[in-house]
Amino acid sequence: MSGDRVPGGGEEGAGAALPDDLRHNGEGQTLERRGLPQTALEEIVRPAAIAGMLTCIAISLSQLVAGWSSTWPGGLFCGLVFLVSLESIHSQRLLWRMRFVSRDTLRFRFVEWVVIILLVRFVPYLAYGTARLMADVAAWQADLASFFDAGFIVMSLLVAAFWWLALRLSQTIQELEASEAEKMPSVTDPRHYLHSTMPHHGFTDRRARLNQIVTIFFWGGAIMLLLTGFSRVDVRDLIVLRHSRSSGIILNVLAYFLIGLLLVSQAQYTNLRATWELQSIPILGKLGRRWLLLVMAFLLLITLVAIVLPVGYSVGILAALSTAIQWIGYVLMQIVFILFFAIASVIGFLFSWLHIGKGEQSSPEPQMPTPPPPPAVVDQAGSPWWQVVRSLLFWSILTAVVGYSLYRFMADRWGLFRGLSATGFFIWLRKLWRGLRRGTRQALDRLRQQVRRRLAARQAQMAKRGWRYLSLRGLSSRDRVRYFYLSMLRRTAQQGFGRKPSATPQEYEGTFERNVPGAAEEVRELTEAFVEARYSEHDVTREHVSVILTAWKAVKRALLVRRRAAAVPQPAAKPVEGDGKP
Amino acid sequence: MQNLLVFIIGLFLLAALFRVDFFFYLLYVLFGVFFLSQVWIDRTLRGVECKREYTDRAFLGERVLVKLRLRNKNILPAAWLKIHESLPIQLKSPNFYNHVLSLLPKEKVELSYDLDCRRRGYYPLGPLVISAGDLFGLHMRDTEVLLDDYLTVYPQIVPLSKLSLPAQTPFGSIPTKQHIFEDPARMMGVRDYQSGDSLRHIHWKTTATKGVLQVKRFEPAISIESQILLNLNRGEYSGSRVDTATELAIVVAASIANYLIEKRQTVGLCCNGLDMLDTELRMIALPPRRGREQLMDILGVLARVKAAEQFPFVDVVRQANLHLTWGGTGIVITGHADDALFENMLLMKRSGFHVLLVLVDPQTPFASLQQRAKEVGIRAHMIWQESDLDVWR
Repeated sequence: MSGDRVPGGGEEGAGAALPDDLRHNGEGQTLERRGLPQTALEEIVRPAAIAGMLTCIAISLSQLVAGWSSTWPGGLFCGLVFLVSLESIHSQRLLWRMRFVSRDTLRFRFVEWVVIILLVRFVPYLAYGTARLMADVAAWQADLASFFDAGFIVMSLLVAAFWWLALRLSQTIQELEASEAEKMPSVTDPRHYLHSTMPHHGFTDRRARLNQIVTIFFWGGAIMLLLTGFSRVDVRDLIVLRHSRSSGIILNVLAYFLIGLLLVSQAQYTNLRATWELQSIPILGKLGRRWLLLVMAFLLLITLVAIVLPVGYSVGILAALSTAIQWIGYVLMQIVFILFFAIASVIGFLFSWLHIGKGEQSSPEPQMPTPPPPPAVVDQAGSPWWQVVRSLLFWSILTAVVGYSLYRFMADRWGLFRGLSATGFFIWLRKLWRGLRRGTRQALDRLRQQVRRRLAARQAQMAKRGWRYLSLRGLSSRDRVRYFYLSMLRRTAQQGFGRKPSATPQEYEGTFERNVPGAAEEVRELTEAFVEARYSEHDVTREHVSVILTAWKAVKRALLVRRRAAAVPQPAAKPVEGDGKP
Repeated sequence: MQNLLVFIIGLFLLAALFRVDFFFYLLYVLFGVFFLSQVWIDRTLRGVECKREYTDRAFLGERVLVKLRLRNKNILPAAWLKIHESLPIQLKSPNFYNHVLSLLPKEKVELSYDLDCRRRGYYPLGPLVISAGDLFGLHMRDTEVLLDDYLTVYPQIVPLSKLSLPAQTPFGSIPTKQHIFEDPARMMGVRDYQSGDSLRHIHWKTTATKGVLQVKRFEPAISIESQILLNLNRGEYSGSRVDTATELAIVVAASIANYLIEKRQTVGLCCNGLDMLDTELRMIALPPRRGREQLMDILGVLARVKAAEQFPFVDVVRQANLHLTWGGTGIVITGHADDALFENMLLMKRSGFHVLLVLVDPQTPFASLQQRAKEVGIRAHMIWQESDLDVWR
């Protein structure tokens, strides 16, 4: 197996702006070469993964057999399977590397199997003890046929099956790799014609190889699950479905699936890389290493998420919903009470501060109001809130699965539903729906118009009232001065001598003095302050505003006096004498 | 892994049958692998941002460096991406650029390739297709992330130096042997005063030095306003040489335009080919102007133009009369000159234009055509191959 490299030399550069971690040997082209990590992956990680997977199945098998036979050396059998699987993979790679002819291969396999059989025969005695070994050896001397007892034959067959599976997996993964024979020779090469006339042009059907690996993985998984299931459940109970629920982590099953997925992922990588290599597509960066790290992180993440997900429900859907709503209400109430307590504390503090020195008796400490007790939780084993959360999650997942299935069902059969929608009943329904929609929309439009009209009328009314609710405190110094002057203008306009649009403030000053002679000085002051506030850029100080406030009050007073004077009816003219004197 | 869903259903049944909680966890793991892989791929393809950077105009023979900048905007890494950029075969062989890479979150990568501008034209680059897949072979998607960009390769320009074009417009910048119009801006010396010389032309400094009246001598000059009339009607070329001859005609047109613009003359272009950028079917007409910008416009059109069969060349010649001012020169570049073309060229002559005929694919002996042209006062040249342009070098 070769590492990622540039097939055909790759004339294009992977620009100079590559990150440093992608650089290799100082070249722009950073294609991963066959190195120690790749060799370790092929020679150690993959064989160990295959052997590990098969051993996981062997563990399940041992657990099942242990239920029937107490003398079954389960641990030793699993160890044997692990070793034999490794040997199978190693021998396959060795044969492939040495290119043995068939006669040599036969000799190689014969020797290998003699050793395996000896192992299968003698390894169980590590559990049985030397006394039994001696007894059995004596028996074999008397009758050689007793060497091949039933236990030995069964174990040999099982070991052979695992040996074959390991061989098959290793061979298939190796076949996924690109071989020299698949590379199309150049048109000038005499082998070009031969290559182009070969079935599939000499290419390996990698998709089929990948499917083989996946199939072995799935079938192995299915068998292991069955074995595990049967080892945990009594078959008699299973038939009548009266068996109890079984919980807990089954490590070998978890390990099988994680290693299997890792292996499938590696097979996919090998497949893709071989395809790219044959298409002369350069690979940038250390894709192989990243692939391995990513798949491990991905599987770890999914496993962690899966562990926290519920596999059943302890609280019904309505109860779970009700509890969740109660919790939300409780949290909201807590927030309200905390706010209330904070406000009450501040008020209490102010109150005590204002009464300081008036008496010795201190105000009572503000008591935090007691919030209502949290909602009663369902009485279950373990942490109650966690039970409710898990139940909620369970119901959410179930609802999502059902909802998604329904949605996809409808989406996939949309043509059928479209045909149904052309029938009379659906046409009537559609008309009804449209009518309802139209009616609702019209009603809403009318309502909206009414609201708008009302709002406009209200705004007009507010505009007529003027700055009734204006807060002087909220205004800046400059705006306050402007307000004083404008309020004066409003009052004078009400009394009939308002400022004309064409008149400047100074011109209007004269008009005001003529009408209200008593406040001439104040109005001059107010006018100057207004002009300054309106047209200058420098700051208007608060002190200045307080001076203007006094002037404004005086003007207001003068205007009030004038208005009252105008409101008092004039006394009737006294009769005059003939000389004109009263 | 296409059977994963079937296995998941089987696992669900087993889990329900045996009531082993752990089987349900496995169900989550496998379903998570299936579902999250799909989500991951979708997000990967949406999160990869690509930019193509290159110079969009090049001259023949240049190499254009195209940079592809890829950036993963996602917080998720892209496990693997295969990029495939389609390219024109005229610029690159093989006509694609492929690469496989992986991108960590927020990682940027720059890839580059060269385009060899071996032939004039207006070439689309791309689309850039990105394929992505998950780690288990469950899902694979591809998407076009960069739509077409274009590269203009200008036609070959042969540097000319001796192209003598007849014209009658005075006060130009090209010296001429016709001493009819002298350009007061191009003084070439002084001579003794003769009766009838304008007093405005007296060179007072020399007069003072020599003590004899001296008048300025001016170089006669003309201004050439030219219109290149290029025939790209495939039907008017011989079948065996149509591609070579039309390309040669384009090279001739580009070289003459370059020469005239370098001499600061006004030049325009009329052509009956098809401009690939023009959505309407119409003749190409660039009115005479001067300057570098005009040259680039003409070269741009000549880069994009394609020979077609829509418009007869005589229509081009008739239209050229509209653009030229009196005394200008029509440079007719065509394969062969037939009677109709001669009639129209004669009409141009009578309208006060000068005509230069350049034939790139004469279908009758050139000598007879040259003789016929000479009879009506038209200079004719034959350019059979690029080296024939050497007569003007």
